Amino acid sequence: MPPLSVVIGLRNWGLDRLEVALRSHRASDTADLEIVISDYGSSNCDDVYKITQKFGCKYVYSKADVWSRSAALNAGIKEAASHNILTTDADIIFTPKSHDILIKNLRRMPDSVQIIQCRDLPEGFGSASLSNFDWSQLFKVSSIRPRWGMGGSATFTKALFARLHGFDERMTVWGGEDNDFVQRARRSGAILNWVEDPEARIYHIWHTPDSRGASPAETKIVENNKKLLDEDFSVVRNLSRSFRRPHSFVPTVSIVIATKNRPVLLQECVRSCLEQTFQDFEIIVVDDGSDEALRPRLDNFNDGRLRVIQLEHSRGIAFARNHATRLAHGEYIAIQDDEDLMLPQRLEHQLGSIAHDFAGAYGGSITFNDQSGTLIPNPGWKEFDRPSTMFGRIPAHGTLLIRRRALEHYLYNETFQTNSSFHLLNRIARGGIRLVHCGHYVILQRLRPHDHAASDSLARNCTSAISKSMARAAVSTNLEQQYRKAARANPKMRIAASEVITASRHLPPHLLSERVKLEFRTPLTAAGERMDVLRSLLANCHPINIDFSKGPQSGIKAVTIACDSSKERDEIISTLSGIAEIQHVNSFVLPRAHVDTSQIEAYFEGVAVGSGDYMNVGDDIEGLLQTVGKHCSRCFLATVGESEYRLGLPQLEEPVKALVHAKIGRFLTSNRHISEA
Amino acid sequence: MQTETVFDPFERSITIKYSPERYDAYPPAANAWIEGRLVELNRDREAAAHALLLFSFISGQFCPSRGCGVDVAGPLRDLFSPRSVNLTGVDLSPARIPSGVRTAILHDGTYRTVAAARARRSDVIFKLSESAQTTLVGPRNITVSSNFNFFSPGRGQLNALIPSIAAALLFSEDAGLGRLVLPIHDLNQSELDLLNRLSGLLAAVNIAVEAPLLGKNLRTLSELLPDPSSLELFFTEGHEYSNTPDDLSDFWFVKLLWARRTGTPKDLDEATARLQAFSEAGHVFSSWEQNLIMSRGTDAHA
Repeated sequence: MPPLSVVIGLRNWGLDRLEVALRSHRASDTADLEIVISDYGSSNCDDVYKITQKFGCKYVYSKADVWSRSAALNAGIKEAASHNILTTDADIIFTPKSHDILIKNLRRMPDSVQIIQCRDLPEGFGSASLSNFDWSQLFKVSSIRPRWGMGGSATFTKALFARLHGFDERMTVWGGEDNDFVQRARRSGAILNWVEDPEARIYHIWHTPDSRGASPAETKIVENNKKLLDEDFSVVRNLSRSFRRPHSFVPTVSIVIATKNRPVLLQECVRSCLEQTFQDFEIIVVDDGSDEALRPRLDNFNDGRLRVIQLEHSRGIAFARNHATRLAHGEYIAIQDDEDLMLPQRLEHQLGSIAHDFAGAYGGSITFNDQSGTLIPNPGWKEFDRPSTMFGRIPAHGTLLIRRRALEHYLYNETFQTNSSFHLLNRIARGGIRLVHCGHYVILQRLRPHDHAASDSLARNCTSAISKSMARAAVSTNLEQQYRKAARANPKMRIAASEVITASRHLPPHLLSERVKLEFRTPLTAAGERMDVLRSLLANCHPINIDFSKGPQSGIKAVTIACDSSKERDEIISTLSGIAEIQHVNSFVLPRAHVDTSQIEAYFEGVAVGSGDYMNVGDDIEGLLQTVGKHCSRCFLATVGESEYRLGLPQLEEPVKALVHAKIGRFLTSNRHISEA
Repeated sequence: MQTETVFDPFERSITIKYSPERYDAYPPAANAWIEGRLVELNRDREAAAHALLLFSFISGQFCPSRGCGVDVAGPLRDLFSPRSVNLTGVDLSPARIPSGVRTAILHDGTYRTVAAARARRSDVIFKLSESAQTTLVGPRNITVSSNFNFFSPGRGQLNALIPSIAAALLFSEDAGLGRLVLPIHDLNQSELDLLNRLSGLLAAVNIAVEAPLLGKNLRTLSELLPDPSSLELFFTEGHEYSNTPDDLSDFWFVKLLWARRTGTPKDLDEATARLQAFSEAGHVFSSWEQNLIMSRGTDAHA
């Protein structure tokens, strides 16, 4: 592996300057330097290629319409073989000892960005006059460039690049991307070191100044770059891009999964991980002594990012998780439980929310019953801090994404048979590590009835009690009271209910049902043959949501019907098109357990109880729908017995509600029900 | 980096606050803290402690909370080399520098602590604990409840001890410390350079540094280690999160050295195999240790 990869991004660049710059790198005292030229759409790419071959460089070409130094450097670094990266420009020359000094500094300070202050050569010292390098003379004639930029070069490790996920590609043309990279590096724990060794010098080859910022469009780009630099405090960028290459991949995230005897659930879990919108990760599965070998089940994924580690004997989940941490290469670790499912944007949301000096992020979880499919959203607590964790307001552990460094230090306690995660989060909070809520639901958490044996539950309670008492015993009673108040003041995070509905589409297929919504060109009147069709659909166990239209053309505007297969959907469409002209058909999936689509959003908002009324009614749905349609915009109908239906009404204003209840009293067959399920 | 020591006598805790400046990195936690109360804290030792604690996050400028005396300013600047760090708050007037007579060995939970304790008599065993509820200060033992270890500058035997040295400096006056024994055995070149600069800094605040194991050969090191079975309690106490010493590479290292010393090939094979498994499972060994494992207990440097 080369000791250093020099990465130069360019587009339509002066070939004479490029040649001089490459000559200076090749004259370095450091042998085996790798030079990567990332050509971002030059029109003279053939000529650039010839020069790169002359100097033994790796050449990377990207087709592009607009120059982006960020994207060019990222494309070059992606191909770089060394763990040490030097980014620079094609008009910068380096003294022979510079590379060696940078490498040594990086060895001493791996968490750093090394910068050499640039010196500008005056007019007359362009490429034509640099057929050989008289470094003493160049020093004398050059002028020092102030430290307001990064001076034309930055040297850092590939691990830091992975942590920041590259130069920000929203910054087009050039200007600001170096500064932005360094500021993010600092926020993530890396220092900026200005190399002051007199043997390490870099010079900017004189050329006529470029016209950046001259046109209104360019001025706008410069302003945009500056705005990003000044206002965006996030650390990880380019979340929709991947810089993954098989030969030199340093993952940004390690997804760690500890598992035992759940091969089928693990498969679903791994699949959900691989379907992430952010792709620069590895997955480490630690099998804590399963009875059946897991690897054959995971081989089907055929993905090089997946590593399966088999422990000889079961050692407990805390040991397995610590084991996974030691094997992880990613700068961040995403904890994933083997029975849960990642929502596709989990990594993207969590990485994107890490700002300032936060060491990680957590999110909301949606618990789903693996048998009934009912969903319970748990948005999680807004703040992560010591008072909250001390009093049980902790993030769902399976939603945690945190710097690897933190988990290498704060190990899971292997002496705890269970619930070591609660203890860990308490210690992390006490340690002053800052975590942020990403503002989204990030996992579907599987709830399996009879999941925990009684002994497990006893152990959980016992370890929780130990963790709580240890946390509280460390402070005075006064401070404990203050913390208690502070914990109570920590609110639940507000996450839009629509996220639950979107997330529910990623439930296992057996918990989903398809819904088809049919809008009629002319509203249907609730009478005659049409009602027979609705009755027939209801009899076939198809709950129906009905939308009514008002005004002169009042009647049934649309129906939404649950169906189990596309064949059934087609049959429903065919049946209904026989009684009325269908204007629009829309298909979507929703959780099988939540049949009333009109109430689902309100239900997940937590206002469902009491907001809608459910009652059992007789089989006179003609009369019922005529009555309801006069006062309500929609209703829900499902079969509950041979000659009985269940009617759901939306939330109504009190006077209207009283009127409707009075009018439909004659249809009721039993007492009113309030809850949906 | 600007630093400040905040004492909370009611909670008996000390917080080191910091404000990163233009070239500094942001440290990994909101602040650094130790549980306990300090009665005396010398300004220069405080500055040295802050510099060590935040060693890998400082670049450009360092402003210790109460400044520092002129005698310690030079070694403080040198500590950061090759970084060029400006120091603010240097007081040119003469000031007392405390002295101590007691020797503390820094306990890092490794087999080297055992060997160093046998190589050099100490008065106090000094240890940092992330999970202890409170600090325990006794005449022979000081266990400091703190998050300092999270600020460690990186991998390596000396780097791992830097936070402990910072904490020991803070307690040094109250505990009468004049000498720190470091359980380090083999360091890479950059750690050796750091040890030199660190020794210079501590000497400027009247603390001597000893590393009795540094560079010692395999035989000497082996002879300093007792029968592994007698160390089970030591390892259990030193590793709060581990179920059994069998899960600790350090325990198997002692077994390897012991097997080699007593000439029991079966034990040697078992220890070698276990250590190789540790290596494959991501445990980081020093180059000397790695060579020893690969050569089945034969000292490649001997």
